[in-house]
Amino acid sequence: MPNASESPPDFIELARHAFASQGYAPSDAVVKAAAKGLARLHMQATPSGMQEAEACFDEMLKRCAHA
Amino acid sequence: MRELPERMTQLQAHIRAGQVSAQDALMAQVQRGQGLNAKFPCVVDALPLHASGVGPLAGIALAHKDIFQLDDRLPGCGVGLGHAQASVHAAAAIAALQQAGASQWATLVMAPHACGATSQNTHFARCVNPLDKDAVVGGSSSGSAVAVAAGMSYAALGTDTAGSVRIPAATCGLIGLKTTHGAVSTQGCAPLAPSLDSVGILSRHAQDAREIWAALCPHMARAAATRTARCHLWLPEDGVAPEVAQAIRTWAAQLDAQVTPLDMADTFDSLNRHAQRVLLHETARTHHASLCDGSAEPSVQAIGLMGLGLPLAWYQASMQSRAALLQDFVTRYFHDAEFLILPSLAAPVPDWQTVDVGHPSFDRAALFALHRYMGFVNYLGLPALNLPIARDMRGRAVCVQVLARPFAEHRLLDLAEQVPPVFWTH
Repeated sequence: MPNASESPPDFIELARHAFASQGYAPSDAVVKAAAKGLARLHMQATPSGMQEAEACFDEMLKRCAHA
Repeated sequence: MRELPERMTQLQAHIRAGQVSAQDALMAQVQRGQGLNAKFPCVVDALPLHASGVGPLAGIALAHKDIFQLDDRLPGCGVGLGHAQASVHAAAAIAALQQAGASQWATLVMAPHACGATSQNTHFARCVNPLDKDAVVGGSSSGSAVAVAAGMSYAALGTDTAGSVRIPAATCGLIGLKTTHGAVSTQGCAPLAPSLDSVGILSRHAQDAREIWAALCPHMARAAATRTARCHLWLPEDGVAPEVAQAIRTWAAQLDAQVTPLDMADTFDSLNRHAQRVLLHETARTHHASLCDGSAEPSVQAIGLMGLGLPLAWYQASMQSRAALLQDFVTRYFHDAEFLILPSLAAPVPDWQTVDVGHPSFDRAALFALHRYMGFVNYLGLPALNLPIARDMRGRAVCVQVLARPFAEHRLLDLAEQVPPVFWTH
């Protein structure tokens, strides 16, 4: 994922690559729509300290019950 | 029996007191439900009524979203009738209600494969909102909302992946409880986005929702009821219609609690994007085959194709950040408060044509207003309650959404019990 110092990625290319990795051959209109969606969902890279294993989520729910 | 009482808890009391037999109570509920289905069509399949079991819900006949497996029956999931399948067992949530003695007399319509914030569905008759025939019925648990609001079932189960219990509840003036992620097993429930999917409850009355919640999670102890604790209130300045914001302010000022405003706009935007990424990717994963061969329902395509075009790394990043973001959210926005109050819908309940995709009156902004404040809650996994608080100028429901810490469903229902009912008399 890009960080704040990087220019915005090429969303068209990102979408094409994602579709290909899923074994799906989209029309140009679908690629454009997906790229538009990616532009909306693009975020700066999450700070490494914010990342935890997915398995921790259920545990965090229990911990936050008493936070 | 001559007439069914307004609340399920009242009927339970009649049965316990021997004033009516469980069997007579069941028959009365089924007859009423079947009669009302002609006016408010929402039943997919009428089920053979099995003899009432033993337990607190003995004598209660319910109807649920057609997304749950039943014994020897697979659900239609909003695209057709259910069908027989030997050796299939009831979903965990259905089994829990059976264990408490409840019966099920019908399955209820839903948006196709639970994709959709409205009841739009070409496979079934259009859902009619019992409060106002011109108002939309939200989705995807649309039949659950219609059945409960019409009085066909005291309560109904739904599922909530991005608002699918809370939105229909908000449009039909009902209690809608989205449970903490994982608190109720989704085993035997057709998935949409498993990381976000939660079983939920729709009812007219908080007391009835509590009975269902207690049956679903009997191990979850209810603390002694206390007066309402501190609440935080978020009313985004440019994100909610003035009429809705004013109704919420008026209601909050009368609440027997200390209500403190806060702003969480920045966090909200970010959380919403994480929620969208997870929804898109997992929907694409669930419906991969039908998306790739072109047979997916239009509403599934609308979400799933976007998911196929989403980089896997984005999804993984959102999943890996989830626990830390939950902790940060609870610390920052609950802090010293027990409840976080925000709008359910960003605008008054619209006419159904306004949010019907393809209709000449379709308004994309009106559709967005239905689900704007929903998805991030599923990403965080928190329990949330839709609570009707007022009527708007057209008599339609104005609702708040109340969030609580994980597994605080009983406290949400405590709060709901303190609020005078807007639509349903006792």
